[in-house]
Amino acid sequence: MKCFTIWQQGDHRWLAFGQDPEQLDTIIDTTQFVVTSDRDAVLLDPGGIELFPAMVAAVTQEVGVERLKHLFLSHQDPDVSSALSLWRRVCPADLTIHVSWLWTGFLSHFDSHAQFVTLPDPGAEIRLSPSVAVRAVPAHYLHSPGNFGIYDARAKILFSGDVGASLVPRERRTGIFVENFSEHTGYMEGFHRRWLGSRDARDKWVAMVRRLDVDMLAPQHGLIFRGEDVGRFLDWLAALPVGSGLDAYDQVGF
Amino acid sequence: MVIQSHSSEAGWHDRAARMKDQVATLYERCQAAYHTFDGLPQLIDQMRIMSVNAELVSARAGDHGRAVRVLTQFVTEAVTRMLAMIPEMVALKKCTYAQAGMVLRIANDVDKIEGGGARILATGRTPGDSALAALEAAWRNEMKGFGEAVAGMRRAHEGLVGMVRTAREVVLQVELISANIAIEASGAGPFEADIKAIADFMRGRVEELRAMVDNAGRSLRAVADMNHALAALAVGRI
Repeated sequence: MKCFTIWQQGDHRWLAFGQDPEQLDTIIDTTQFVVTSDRDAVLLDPGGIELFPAMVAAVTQEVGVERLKHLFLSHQDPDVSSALSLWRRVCPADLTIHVSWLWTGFLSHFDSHAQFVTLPDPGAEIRLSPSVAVRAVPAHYLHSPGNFGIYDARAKILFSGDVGASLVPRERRTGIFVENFSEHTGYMEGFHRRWLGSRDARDKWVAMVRRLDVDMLAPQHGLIFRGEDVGRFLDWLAALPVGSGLDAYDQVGF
Repeated sequence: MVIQSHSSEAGWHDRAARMKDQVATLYERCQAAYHTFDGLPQLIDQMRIMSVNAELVSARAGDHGRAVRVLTQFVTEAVTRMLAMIPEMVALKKCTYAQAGMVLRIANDVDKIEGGGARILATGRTPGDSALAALEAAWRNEMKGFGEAVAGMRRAHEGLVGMVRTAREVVLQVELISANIAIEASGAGPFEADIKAIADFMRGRVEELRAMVDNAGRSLRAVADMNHALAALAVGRI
């Protein structure tokens, strides 16, 4: 498991974990993020159960397990949350698990003893220390009906969950950032066309993100956009036809 | 900064690998034990109908059927005894599958926790490391749950062994009754053929029941061995 420090200002850091060379090919590649402060840290989308051994070893190399006081789940998918029960067992007893109010009953299938702090639809602040806080921002219907991202106004980083996700072949990954945007669109177009189902949601999300000051847009799969590539991505997404699965309704033959 | 992970070869706890195979085998053998009894409700129903039929024939036979009527009462009692076993068996089955599911989940979790611990050790951190301590606590907690689940399976197993014992008693009882009915048939005059047919039918059902009991007994002995092995794994957690 590789760890990339993508931003740092004192104890306030953004760490990206991913591109594990030992990861099974059958499991979708994911990137996990940790935001640290001078007190607590939050683990964003801790990943699936198969990833847990590599993740716990890599994360605790950087952040003491006693500081992992918050888990944030962008949505309910197993690649985001199936290791929930294991993380809850190793994190401190006062761990707070943040997730959309929509999903608590569903996530309890992964961990029936977990206690959740539910995020209302407009989102909420997650405070890590008196001086550091991040904010859960809505990404509903992109793709999950109860979906959030995390925005850090000081770092100007937006963790965007599945929005901006790409499936980059192992041999094409040379780092954690997008280096050639036009080439990169080939790795994300199919995903966005099929997985995003709502143009309205897409348009509202793009408009919301344009109102934020974002230097980096960090998805849960694939590479991170930075600098001008953030704007390029928003333009590209805004113009992309989504909901390609809808065609199937006309193809069933009855 | 890039930190490469290491392979998970380093030794830490290594219970998961042993648990996995044994748990899978245990699950398989439990299923086999219960499947053996899949045909039991149908068999009991056949015996119930047969005992009603035997009562009718013995009534029709008058004095010739007096002894058969008495013997048939015992068959009816045996059928009632076996009918009472069915809801108990369903409850035991439910309990076994719930505990087996728990054991499988714990085995999977232990595998991941041990994998995490091994990777941490491989990075050169010492056993005093806070992450290792947290994993150690999680591991012990899982093993405690594992021990409890195995104990639950053992209790269900003991319940099933008790039921097999009851079924074996019924086999012996009905076998004896069918032999006596066959003897009574020879003195039943015009009803000899009808009563003999009842005795033959009864013997056939007894053989089916005996096969079920024997197969279940074999599966349960194998389950007992696995339970002991798994309990030893759980006890060895300290």
